[in-house]
Amino acid sequence: MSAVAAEQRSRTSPVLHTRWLTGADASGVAALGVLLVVFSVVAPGFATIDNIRSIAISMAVVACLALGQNLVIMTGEIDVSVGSIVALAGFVAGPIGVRTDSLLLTLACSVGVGTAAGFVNGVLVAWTPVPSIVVTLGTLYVFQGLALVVSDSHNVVSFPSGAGAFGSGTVLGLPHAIVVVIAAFVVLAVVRRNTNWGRDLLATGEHRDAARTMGVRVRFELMGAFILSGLAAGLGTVIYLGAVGGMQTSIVDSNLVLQVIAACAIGGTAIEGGRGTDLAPLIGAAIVGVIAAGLVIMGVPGVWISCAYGTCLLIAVARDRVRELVVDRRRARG
Amino acid sequence: MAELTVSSPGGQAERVRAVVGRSIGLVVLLAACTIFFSASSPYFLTTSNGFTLFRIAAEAGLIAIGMSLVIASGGIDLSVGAIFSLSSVLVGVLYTEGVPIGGAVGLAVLAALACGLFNGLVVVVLHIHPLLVTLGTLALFRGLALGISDGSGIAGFPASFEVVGQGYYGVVPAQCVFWLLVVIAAVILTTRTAAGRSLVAVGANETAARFSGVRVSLVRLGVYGLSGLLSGIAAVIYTSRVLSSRADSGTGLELLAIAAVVLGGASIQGGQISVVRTTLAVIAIAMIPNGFVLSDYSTSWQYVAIGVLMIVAVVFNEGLAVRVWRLATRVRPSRHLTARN
Repeated sequence: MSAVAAEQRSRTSPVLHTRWLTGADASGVAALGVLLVVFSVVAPGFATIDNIRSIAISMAVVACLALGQNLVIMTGEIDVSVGSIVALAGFVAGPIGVRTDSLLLTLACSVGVGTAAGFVNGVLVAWTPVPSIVVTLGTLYVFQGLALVVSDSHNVVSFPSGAGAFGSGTVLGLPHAIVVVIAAFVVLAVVRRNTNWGRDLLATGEHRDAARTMGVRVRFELMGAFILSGLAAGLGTVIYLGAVGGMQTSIVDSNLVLQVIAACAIGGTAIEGGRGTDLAPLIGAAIVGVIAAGLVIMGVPGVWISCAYGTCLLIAVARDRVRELVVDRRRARG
Repeated sequence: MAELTVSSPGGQAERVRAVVGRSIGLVVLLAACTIFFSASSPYFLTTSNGFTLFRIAAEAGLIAIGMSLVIASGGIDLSVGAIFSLSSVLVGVLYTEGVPIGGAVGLAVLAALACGLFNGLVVVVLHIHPLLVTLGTLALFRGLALGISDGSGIAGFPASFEVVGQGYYGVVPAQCVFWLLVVIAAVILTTRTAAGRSLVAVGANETAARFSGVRVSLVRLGVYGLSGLLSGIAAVIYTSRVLSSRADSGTGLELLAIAAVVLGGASIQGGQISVVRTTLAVIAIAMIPNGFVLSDYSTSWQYVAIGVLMIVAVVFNEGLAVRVWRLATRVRPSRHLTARN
């Protein structure tokens, strides 16, 4: 149980204690800044409004899923089933959206399916002794199978613009997808900072037994994190359907979940749990998106992009460790 | 914990009981699958289908053995599928560039070993969580495979190459013989050698292992190297079996291998290993799609079946049934003392 959490607990007023940018985010923001500067210099045409807007839309789905995943990782668990949840929610809500062209109905179905899936994960993680990576690996297969059953091998095509409003269109020059993700971020950040559930998430991840002894309801924490991860996946599905204009059965093979976990880790949330910020998934998703788009504009051939991307990923997750090594060595010398 | 009870005073009888206790769920599962699919299809329980099943399972089986070593040492390797595709592509590219097929195979397997050692090196030197390291190298290795092959498939291998993945010794497919040899070697490594004990010790308690004189870094490097090597060998067998190499081969293999290790009853946190149970689990997982196709069930449900079986088997393994029974039949003294998880 960290001193920070105890201190926050002692403040009784429901005022928003908002330090939106904490020191923990600094290295991620710095990395993002360096990348933006480098790509602006070496890739003419990178720093245009249109380009940045298209990066943002392409990363909105990953960012949305990462917002939920971030909570799960904070508790020291992991949810590898989110990619399958997107597939399942997409094939349930997609045809409904195509038939009715109603954003509200699509959203309700998709978020409902996502939340239910998250609930299943949460129950299994909180009430069985099975580690979350195993539980969610199992439900990954279950949701993936159910998605294929529901789809009946038919892709969702020509998704109408009304139901897909979250993924297309702009308001005041900002794409809807970005507005939705930022709104989700603000809601989550406020909930996490101003409820006991939210403040105890990190304590649960830092030292579970200690947290339990302090009175943290560990099962409640875990249930909440996994339900919100499923909910975020449901919301991400609506953005995906709108932005891509449909959903193909091949989505179950894509490595969406790996991008989501990478986004959280690159943003600076510790994969072991107990350490992380609310902004980390957004920073991480932005870094991933900037790297991918920057390489394309630099003219790196398409087949080599994944290679360069993997290298950047390794450097990104290694940056803190390398800095520590250098600092330690300097200290040892001085 | 079967292997750790070796040093406990219980002796041989307890050891046997522990091993049987852990395996029983898996054996029941295998028997149930066999009976169910035999009842629903007359083609399931035949020698030829048996060998077909083993032929296809051999690749995942080899990779799962590597994965079981990595997981036993407290790590995880998400890059096995990517190493698989890189080796497969290398065989094809090297051969089309004029390297004799034997040399191409050798170099591809060496490259796979190098990839595994690279994983190990980053984990050991930078102390980054292996999940993140191998997530990065997954993108890196698959990217290399895509780049080297220029995104296109390679075919046109010589007839002599077919012996690896399509040859038979009598009625037994060649890769089943390789698989069996690797299983035997891995069983000897993990149960009869100091290196095998060391890797379980590192996974069970790294600090204790270090203070006991185990060279933790070397063990780490070794398991990731072996995992890469086995992925490379599996890739060669696969390439020979389908006679083409593509950069998108082997997607999802990492999850399948992890599922097999977990279904085999090993803890994902490390410190436990059973090569035999992992191998049985691979066969069980391979049985499901095979049985579904032969029985004419919708193939979509096979994923649901695999997922449900996995969760049920692990819950069963963790002794939940026993715990629930105990909780139901006694008065709980204190909420905090009995609450788990």
